[in-house]
Amino acid sequence: MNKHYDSPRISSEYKDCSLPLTFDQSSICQFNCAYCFSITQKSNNPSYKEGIPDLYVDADRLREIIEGKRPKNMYYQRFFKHGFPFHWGGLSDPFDDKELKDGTSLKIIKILAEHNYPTLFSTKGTLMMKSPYYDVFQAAASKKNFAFQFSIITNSDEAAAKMEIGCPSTTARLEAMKAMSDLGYWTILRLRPFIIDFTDKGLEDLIRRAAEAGAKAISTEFFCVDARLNNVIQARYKMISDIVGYDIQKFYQQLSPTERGTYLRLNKDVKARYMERILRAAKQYGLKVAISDPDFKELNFSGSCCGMPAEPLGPDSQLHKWSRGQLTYFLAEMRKSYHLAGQIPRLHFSQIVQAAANGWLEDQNIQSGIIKGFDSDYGKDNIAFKDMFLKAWNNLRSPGNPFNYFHGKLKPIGKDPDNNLVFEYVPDEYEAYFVKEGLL
Amino acid sequence: MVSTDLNMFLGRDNYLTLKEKQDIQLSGLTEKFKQEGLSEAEALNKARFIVFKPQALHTERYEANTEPGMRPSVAFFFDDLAELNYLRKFFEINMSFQVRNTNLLLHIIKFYEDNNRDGKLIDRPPVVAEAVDPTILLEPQKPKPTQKTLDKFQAVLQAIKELGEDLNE
Repeated sequence: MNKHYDSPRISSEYKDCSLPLTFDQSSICQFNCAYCFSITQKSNNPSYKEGIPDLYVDADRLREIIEGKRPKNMYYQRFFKHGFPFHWGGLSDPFDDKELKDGTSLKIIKILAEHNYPTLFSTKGTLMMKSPYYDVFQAAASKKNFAFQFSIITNSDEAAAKMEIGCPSTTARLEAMKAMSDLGYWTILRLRPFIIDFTDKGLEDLIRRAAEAGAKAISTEFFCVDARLNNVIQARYKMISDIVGYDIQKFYQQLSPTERGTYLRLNKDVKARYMERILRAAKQYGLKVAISDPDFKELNFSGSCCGMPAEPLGPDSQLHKWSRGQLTYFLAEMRKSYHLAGQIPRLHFSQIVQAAANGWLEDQNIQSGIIKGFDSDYGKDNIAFKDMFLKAWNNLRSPGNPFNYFHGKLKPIGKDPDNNLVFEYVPDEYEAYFVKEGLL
Repeated sequence: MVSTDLNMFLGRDNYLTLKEKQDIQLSGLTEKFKQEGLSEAEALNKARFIVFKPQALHTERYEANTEPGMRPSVAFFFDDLAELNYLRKFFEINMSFQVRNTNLLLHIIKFYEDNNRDGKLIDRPPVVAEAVDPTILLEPQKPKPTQKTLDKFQAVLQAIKELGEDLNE
């Protein structure tokens, strides 16, 4: 068995992700939040049937890849070589308390700082405000190549302690956010997952406090329920249900469109009123709004639903170099185009492929390399992510088809000369209203 | 555009109207379920299940021969989700009339379009002209509307006529 954790990887959400190069330094997160996406996924993964081994990334090997000493490495070729932003903290936390014993994160942060490598940290931790972490971030601050997403889903420290058992409090996370904002870094309130009857309590106060802590943007997404129930997931949903006061499974089964498959997402009508509150509070406190949820995704301020800036933050900053070749970018552009020009825009698959950063979607080595790494489905060898994307793009019964995934926001209107579907933007009533109210 | 045109037709903001209606329904139903013995949270959720019931996408209407084994569609260009959803909301809000039957909605859209051609109603976008391909009404898989549905259909047509006449006065 590999003694090191294998990361980075390509995000499974690459079809609408601006930062597909995602990374975790460790296989296990110590924070143990009730809603943890990582636990849900891993509990249904047969390769973890014997349990999840506690592994860490080989920091020295990562250094070699970043520095081009492994020039054939697929991640170097398509991403590191071009200074493509590195998204750290998808399935575990770079700043959890395990890090104090192990120190892998610190090693990697030093490598990234040494190379001024653009990195977005996604965290609930507070270690970055303490030495020696703070010292590294302080020394690298002038380059503006680090950004921080602080995941916070309730304004209440007491409520957070029930839902996010091992995490620092909301107040502590906001203090850490302020410390990084004060150094001049781009910080983001990661309001994800938004849980109805939980996150909405004190929502405006939380957004105000994030603004006071220097946040520039909010990134939000509503909670999802995995319908592939097992004992682990059931126990966690029971825990969430007890906290929020209603049966979360039943709630999602009743109110989620079936077209999106087994990963249940609430329908747009349920979420609209909360979305409006987020937009209003963000406007009041001067934050930009990014939406990772497939509903309302077209309202993103940029094409990055993580809330990353679209323009350079300074002469040395590369945080804006995220990939435009994905659906979030095109949805946001289509909305703007419709409201500015008054014509309904269309989207061709070729537009996405052309806009993908450094041609990564077309590189067969990436997909094949991942498959070989996992020693799994060789039937998918010699295909690129573009091919997998296209399969969902042209199959209207796939939950990943844009028509289903965005629940009608993009609708098929015909085929292009390559026999691929062409989609058209479908405006909603709320868009004109939000524009009129100055919320967009 | 569909929504903007119809909002102009209504002379008000449909998003707000819908939200107000949902608020009224939520509070009314929650109160009703509380009186029936449910707790506050249970009553609210039961009301939500009714008010926010998700609408189907009618995916089958878009299916083309894109994959082996997929059923061909008789009218690829036919459906328009925004239009259908809009009209559902339109009738619910203005006429306290719930249009759940998609075939009935198709008849209504066709009627709407016919009236537009006569210049009686508002301008319609080209996509709707494509959408009213009458072959869809002959689609054999769809059940024929019942007499009750047809009666409702006639009532709605009459209401639209009256609205159209008001607009043209």
